[in-house]
Amino acid sequence: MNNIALGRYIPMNSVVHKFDPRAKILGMLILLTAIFIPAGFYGYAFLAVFVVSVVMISKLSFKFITKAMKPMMLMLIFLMVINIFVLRTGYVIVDVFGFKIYSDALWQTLYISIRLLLMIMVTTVLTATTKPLDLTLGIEDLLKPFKRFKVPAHEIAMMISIALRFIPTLIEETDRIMKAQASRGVDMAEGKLKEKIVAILSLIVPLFVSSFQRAEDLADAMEARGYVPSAMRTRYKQLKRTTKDVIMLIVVLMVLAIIIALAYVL
Amino acid sequence: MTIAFKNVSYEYAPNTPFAYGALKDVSVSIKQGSITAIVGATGSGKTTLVQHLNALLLPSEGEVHIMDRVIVANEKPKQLKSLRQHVGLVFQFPEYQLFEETVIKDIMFGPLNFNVTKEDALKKAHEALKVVGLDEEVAQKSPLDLSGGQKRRAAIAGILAIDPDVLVLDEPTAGLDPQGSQAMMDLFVGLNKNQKKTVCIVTHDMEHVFNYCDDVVVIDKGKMVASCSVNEFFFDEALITSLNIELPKVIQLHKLLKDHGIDIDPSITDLDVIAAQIAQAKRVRP
Repeated sequence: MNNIALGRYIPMNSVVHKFDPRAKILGMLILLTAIFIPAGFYGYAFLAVFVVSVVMISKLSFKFITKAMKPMMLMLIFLMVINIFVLRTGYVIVDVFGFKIYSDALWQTLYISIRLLLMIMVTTVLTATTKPLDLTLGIEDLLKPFKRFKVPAHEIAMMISIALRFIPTLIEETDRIMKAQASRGVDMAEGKLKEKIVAILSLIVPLFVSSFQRAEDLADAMEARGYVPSAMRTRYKQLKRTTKDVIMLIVVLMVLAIIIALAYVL
Repeated sequence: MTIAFKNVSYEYAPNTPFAYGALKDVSVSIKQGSITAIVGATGSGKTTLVQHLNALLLPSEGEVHIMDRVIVANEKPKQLKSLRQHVGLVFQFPEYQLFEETVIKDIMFGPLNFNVTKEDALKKAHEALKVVGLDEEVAQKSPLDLSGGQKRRAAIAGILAIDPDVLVLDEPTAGLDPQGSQAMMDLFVGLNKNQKKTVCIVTHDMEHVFNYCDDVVVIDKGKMVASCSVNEFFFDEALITSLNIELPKVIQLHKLLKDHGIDIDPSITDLDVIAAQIAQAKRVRP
């Protein structure tokens, strides 16, 4: 339970860590857009090289990145199976007892897999190099212009930061309840389907109960300290944009331009 | 000897930057039929130690002997479930593990997991309810409607219904009022005396250790510092000072009396007897 890699902040001393969170979020959005443009083989090769070098610049280990990708493996296999059954274009690669696997199915799966892997890499770089609190500050600032359309920027940021704050707590709690129920003879790994459902219930119900209790306590504690969501407030931590951030955004935009060129012009 | 640790070490998150050795080379044995207190400061590794007792955690090094089972480091043990039927572990704040619709169903949950028939489980649940001192009318209530102390009792009943030979409790009196915690300790002593259960209690309360327990195991920074009987422990002044433990009131009284030149047998703990002896000593003096 304690080695979940997805979304974890890794303290390091790299250029990427020092970028302004707002710039990093924007950069990530631009890169994600680039990833979703169908730019063919060369486009993806170029993007892959770029993303891998970003990972290297941010001094993250590839072991960590692969660990973060692990949960997606199941989804990729699922996608491949569906593609093989559904896509029936291109030429036949193998013919197993009349069941044909088409080339397009494999290509499509490969593209989707590369897209997903790149996506995970980009988002992992963002979450691994930015402290959760900075991330929410960045989101709040980026949402501010939408306030005139009644988007509750501060409330959204507060909700995200509270959710992030409670992830480790909930993991700890889950671990504790699992052990407590194991002491009462629950076997999470073995057992029939019906037993497994009961085992999961015995975990989820206490987890829900304590989450609600925590939520209530937190709400009381915030109110006791005079928290009003709509009130004007200043911030201890001020985000500052530097030339480094501007250069980073320009580089990322150039990547997007190259991908668009590869996809539509050439 | 029911449970014995032989050079047990345990490390959290091994091979990562967050690796942390919670237990270091601990060798301890817990006698059958005794009440053993496990004491130590917060973060000293008591809970980690206790979770080895029913193989929730497996040692990184060394071996743990539990009844007739041996758990060796780096060997994957099988059939841990049967082991947990013999060693019941009550976690700290166990009230958070209640989940069934009614209290009685929740207490039956444990026995049913160990393949006890429904009738027997119901019978055991009612017995356990009685042992922990809850009324019959509580049985059909939702566990969430009980008071804090009642929830704690219901959760302990859930383990008692499994009928383990060894009962391990991680700070069972935390957050209870003085009467409640005393009643709780009386309950464990009763189980030890009447049902011959081996009891293991993690506690910070030296009064409880002194008044209710037979043996003490002291853990400090993951290492075992002492493992002896309660009487030896409280009269080992060097150890007590080094651990910075506050002595039970009666022993403090004995010390003060000694400083004032009144000699009373330190094994006497009854306050009335001590008072009578002080009166006598005062009278004898010119």
